[in-house]
Amino acid sequence: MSFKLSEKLNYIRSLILTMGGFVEKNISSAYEILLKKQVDLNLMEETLVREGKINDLQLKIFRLCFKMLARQSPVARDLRMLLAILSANTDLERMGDLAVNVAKRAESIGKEPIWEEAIGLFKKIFVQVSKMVHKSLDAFVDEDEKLARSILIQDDNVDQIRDKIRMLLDETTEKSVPKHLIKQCLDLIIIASELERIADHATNIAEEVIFLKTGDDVRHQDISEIDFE
Amino acid sequence: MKKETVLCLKQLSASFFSTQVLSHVSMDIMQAQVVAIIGPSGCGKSTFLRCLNRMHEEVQGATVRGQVFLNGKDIYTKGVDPVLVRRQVGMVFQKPNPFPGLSIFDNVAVGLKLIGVKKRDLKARVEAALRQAVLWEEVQDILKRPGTSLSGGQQQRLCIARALAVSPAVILMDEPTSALDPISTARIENLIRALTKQVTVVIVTHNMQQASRISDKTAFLLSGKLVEFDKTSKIFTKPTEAKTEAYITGRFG
Repeated sequence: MSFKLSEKLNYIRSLILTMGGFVEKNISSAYEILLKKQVDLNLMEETLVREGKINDLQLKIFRLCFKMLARQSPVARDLRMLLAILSANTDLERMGDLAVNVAKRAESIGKEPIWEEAIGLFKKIFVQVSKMVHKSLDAFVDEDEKLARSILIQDDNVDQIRDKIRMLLDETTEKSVPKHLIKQCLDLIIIASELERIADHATNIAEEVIFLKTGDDVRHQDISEIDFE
Repeated sequence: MKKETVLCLKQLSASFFSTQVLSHVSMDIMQAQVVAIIGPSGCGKSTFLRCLNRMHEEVQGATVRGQVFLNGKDIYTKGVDPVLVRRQVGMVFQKPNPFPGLSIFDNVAVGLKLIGVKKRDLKARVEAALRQAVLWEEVQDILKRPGTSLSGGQQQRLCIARALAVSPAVILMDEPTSALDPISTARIENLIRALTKQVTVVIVTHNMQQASRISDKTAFLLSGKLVEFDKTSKIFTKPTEAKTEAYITGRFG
């Protein structure tokens, strides 16, 4: 029974990784659309197809976990793993939604050039968020507690970049700028906030890895209170 | 309310001839708690239980070392009468064993008569014990029928009533539901939880879910040694010992 249980858990974990792969690709598509101005229908369509796959995987993973809870009554590490998978499942689905939102909003900006001062900051936030998502998936698959703890610190960097973008765009909208640029500024502020939310979900996954490995619940803890050793 | 120690085990070891089956087990069992003893077959669980009311020594070649304090008094001190110990530490076995040939009433009354309860008090004491064992409603009109005429689950509750009748401090249960269907098992489990208002229950079980459902603390025994003894909620979510984790997740045993 336990052999079957660990086999099934490994299978579900592989589905989580597949889901994570789709999320990463959609973040990358959003980047292409916003910053490389690759506003083509195929890219958007592929993004939406992947979003559908993410949703299907979320349901599949939930059903498998539900059955396992009912039939195998996992305990200790197996129970923690199952709970971590269920939480990561929700986080990844939300990350998928947010990535699509970013892509759609980027598409609505279209070929119009991005406010120049903001380009560097957006590149930064995209790189930082993508790294966090990738690392959180690596930490999840390798059950790497140390890597997971390092992600918690990086979340603050993303918050800072988001704040800088907001400040820059706030200042811009206060000046007398053409109406269409005000709309772009608002879109960019929302995109920055959505990217920051993706980073929050990556942080959640990292917290789930820590819970899986140690049984410690570090959610809603101040960074200074968390043991990084 | 601060709970007091009912049973205090110090370096308890037990053997059959030259084979040691229990090695240096020390633990405190508090009043009004359910303590589950888990571990693979042959790890010494039943022997452990039988050491707590001096049943182990009834087997030829069996020896016990160490101390077991029941409410502060060592039950292995010279001169302590094992029969008196068993009055304080009752036992319920895997298979229900009502006394054959005795009625439902007499099955419960027999222990009371032995401790000298007066005839006029018997009826009330039997009823009280059957009520405690949540059996009274089902048997109040058939008290003269043989105890063996009841269903398996009812027989087991009758045995619990028999143990409760003499007001013990502790009841030991050796896989009390392994021969029962799920409904009877659920009734016994509910009963065990309810009993903690009056007695301490030490239960041996092979059913991990049962241990996690009904016990306050769980002890994991392996090869006669106590590997871990902690709150059940901790044992089943975040055990300290890797061996405990491996056992309860079914990776060995």
